[in-house]
Amino acid sequence: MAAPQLTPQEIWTIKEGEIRKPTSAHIAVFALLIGVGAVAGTFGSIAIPLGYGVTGFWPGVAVQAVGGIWFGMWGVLAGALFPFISNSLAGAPLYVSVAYFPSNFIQGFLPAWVFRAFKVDPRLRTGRDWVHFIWSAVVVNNFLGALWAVTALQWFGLITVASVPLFFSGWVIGNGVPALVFGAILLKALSPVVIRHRVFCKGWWA
Amino acid sequence: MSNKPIIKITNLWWKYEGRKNWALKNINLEIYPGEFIAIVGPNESGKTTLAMSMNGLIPNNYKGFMKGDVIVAGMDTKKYSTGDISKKVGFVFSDPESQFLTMTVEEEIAFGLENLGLPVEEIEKRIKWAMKITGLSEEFLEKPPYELSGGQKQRVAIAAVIAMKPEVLILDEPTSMLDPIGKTEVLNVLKELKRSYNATIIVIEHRLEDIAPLANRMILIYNGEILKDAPPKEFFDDIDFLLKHYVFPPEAMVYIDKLRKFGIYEGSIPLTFDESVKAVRESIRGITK
Amino acid sequence: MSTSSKVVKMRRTLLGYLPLESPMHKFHPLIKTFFLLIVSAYPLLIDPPEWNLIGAIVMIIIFVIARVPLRILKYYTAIMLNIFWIIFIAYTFFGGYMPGYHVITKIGPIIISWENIMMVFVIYLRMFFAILVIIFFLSVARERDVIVGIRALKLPYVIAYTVGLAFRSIGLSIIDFNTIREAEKARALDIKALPLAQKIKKFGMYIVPLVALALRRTDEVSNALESRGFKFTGVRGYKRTDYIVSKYKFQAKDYVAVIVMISILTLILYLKYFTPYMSLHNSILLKILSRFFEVKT
Repeated sequence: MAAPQLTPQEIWTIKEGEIRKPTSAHIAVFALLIGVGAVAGTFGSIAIPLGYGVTGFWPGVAVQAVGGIWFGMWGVLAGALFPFISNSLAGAPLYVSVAYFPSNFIQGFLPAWVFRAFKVDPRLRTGRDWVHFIWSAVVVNNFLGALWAVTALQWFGLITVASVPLFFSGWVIGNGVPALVFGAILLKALSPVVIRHRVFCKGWWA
Repeated sequence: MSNKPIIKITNLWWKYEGRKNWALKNINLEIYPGEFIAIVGPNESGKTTLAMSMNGLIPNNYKGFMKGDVIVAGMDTKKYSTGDISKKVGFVFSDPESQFLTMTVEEEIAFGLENLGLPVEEIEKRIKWAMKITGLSEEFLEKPPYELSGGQKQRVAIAAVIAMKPEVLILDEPTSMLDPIGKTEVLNVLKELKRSYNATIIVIEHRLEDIAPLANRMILIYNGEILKDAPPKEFFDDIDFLLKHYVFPPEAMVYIDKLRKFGIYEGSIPLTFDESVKAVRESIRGITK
Repeated sequence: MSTSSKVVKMRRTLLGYLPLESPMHKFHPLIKTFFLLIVSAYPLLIDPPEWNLIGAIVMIIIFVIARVPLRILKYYTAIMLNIFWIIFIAYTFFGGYMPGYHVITKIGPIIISWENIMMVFVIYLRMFFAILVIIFFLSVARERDVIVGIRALKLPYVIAYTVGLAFRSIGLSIIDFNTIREAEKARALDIKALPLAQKIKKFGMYIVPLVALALRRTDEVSNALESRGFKFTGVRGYKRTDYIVSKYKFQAKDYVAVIVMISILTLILYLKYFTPYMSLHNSILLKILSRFFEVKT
């Protein structure tokens, strides 16, 4: 028998008497997201490298966005941490990865916050869901991420002011396209299962 | 064997959230210290669910509805976490790959012992003991567990659990994902555990021919219910009943059962290959007399 | 037995295998973490390209001393070349123009200046040194070293443990990735053979099952964790033993290694902020190059 359909309101609202607390399953999903992200991220970082871990195609961003939406802060933190591994394997120096931390954090955090705050259906069923997904998980998050990243690269003396547009656009496009394509595929394909899973986070931690 | 059960299950019902049917229906079961129990049944019959209810994974780690009580080594699984119960109950999963939590065999075996807060010297001693009982040499210590063969992996998984010296050891289809060599390796460990490890052992297993000679009691689960709970000889006495419930006894047993039905053999169903040979010899002698 | 037939015993590291006889195994695992944290900062603080070049050469010597198989560097040759070309094109042709730049030539609207070419050398050699540092770390460190390092620093156990589980998860993801790839191949999809655009498109066929399998593993891993006494809160009324860390002792050579690394860092900081030796103006290599480009600086 098919389980009853949940409304977006029901997906995100903690019912009266419902106890939700972090468990070892959240630790497991956090670690597993780092694993999946590192594999997906390394694939991208090596595919079309622009240098310093910036790449023309980075599917890792899809894991950041959906990770945050589904698993709250566990997904956001995993999304901010796995690039340390994928960037390192792609030859990015440690402190460049450190500098990217805020970018990678915001790329997962913004959609996670928007989906919770505006009760957006992670199954992307309506036009409204798509609009929120696109602005928060494809456009603005990557724009902010890129902004910080190029600032940090410049701060480290790794790029000049003049080459900012190249790296900025590389980051936004390299992240935006896979975030849109893979993010949407993942949300459409797996959200119906994930929202019923015990590791799904209605709040930030559980 | 003590008269006080180490596991007492009373009127247990369990249904996973989102499912229509109960996975376990009115289970009543008492397991005594030192028993070697084999739980058998077809796929989706509730064997793993029953096993997980004995170490607290159900109800603690799964969403669902529970009725009845499970008391394990004096702990009510509704009141104690799986982490607490793990001091008394060890659990070996069917997929050796997924249960490894660290990057070397040594860390893997030490993991549970560190969680128990044992002194370093004691941990060292227990690692050596567990390696010995599972037939692993010390050269494995530095190796990543996932780089070993299937049988070796499962032996590491067993070593990691028995090092914690649980009073109850549950093995959920420990040979189902292994090749024939791996299966033999693990069965040899089970034999060794039965011989030298003074604990209650519960094995969920498909390979009846290997497990039957080791077990004191065999339990058939079908559609969430316990249909049969008996010592092996008695358990295999009604082969048709087992076949009807998709439990397939070894060919030799089915053959002897046929001889019995033809009135050629009159004894009980043999549990081992050697016993089967003996039974056939007796039958032939009976015919030729 | 002849030496040529001698079997070299290797130990797996994050990036490959390292011979057991490597001197790196004699150091405390924490030293490798310190190496990553301290030495990674050197190239970022150094401006003159010849200093970074020296750093890179020293790193290669360290690779040899540590007996890291140099073929590991071969894997990164393409990445290093790629980075060079990206930097070269980005800075030479799209590096922009500011008043005071020394113009070498103009190609249409593009101005090629000495300052931009100089940055190609400055940044590329900085990257070259930095990449060698991270490759070295990945080549000599094992997951266990990182975990022992974190535990030895007395960081909360849950952090050390999660890092360990994350490493383990990468292994599981790679297994799952290969399983999916084999399944796709069996259905006649071989991404390797596809052009890049198709590769990207088909990547979706990997990422969905990869995440789906990770979800399934969540249950398995958390069941395994709890079944072996792991408590999320860490509250258990007694102290968790640190058996693995107890196997390592910080020795004299470890202290020497730390002192050497910190001394070099201090020296670089001193030279950079209190002397003119680390400025680009005093770079010998840039002076030679400027003569080559006939630029009066």
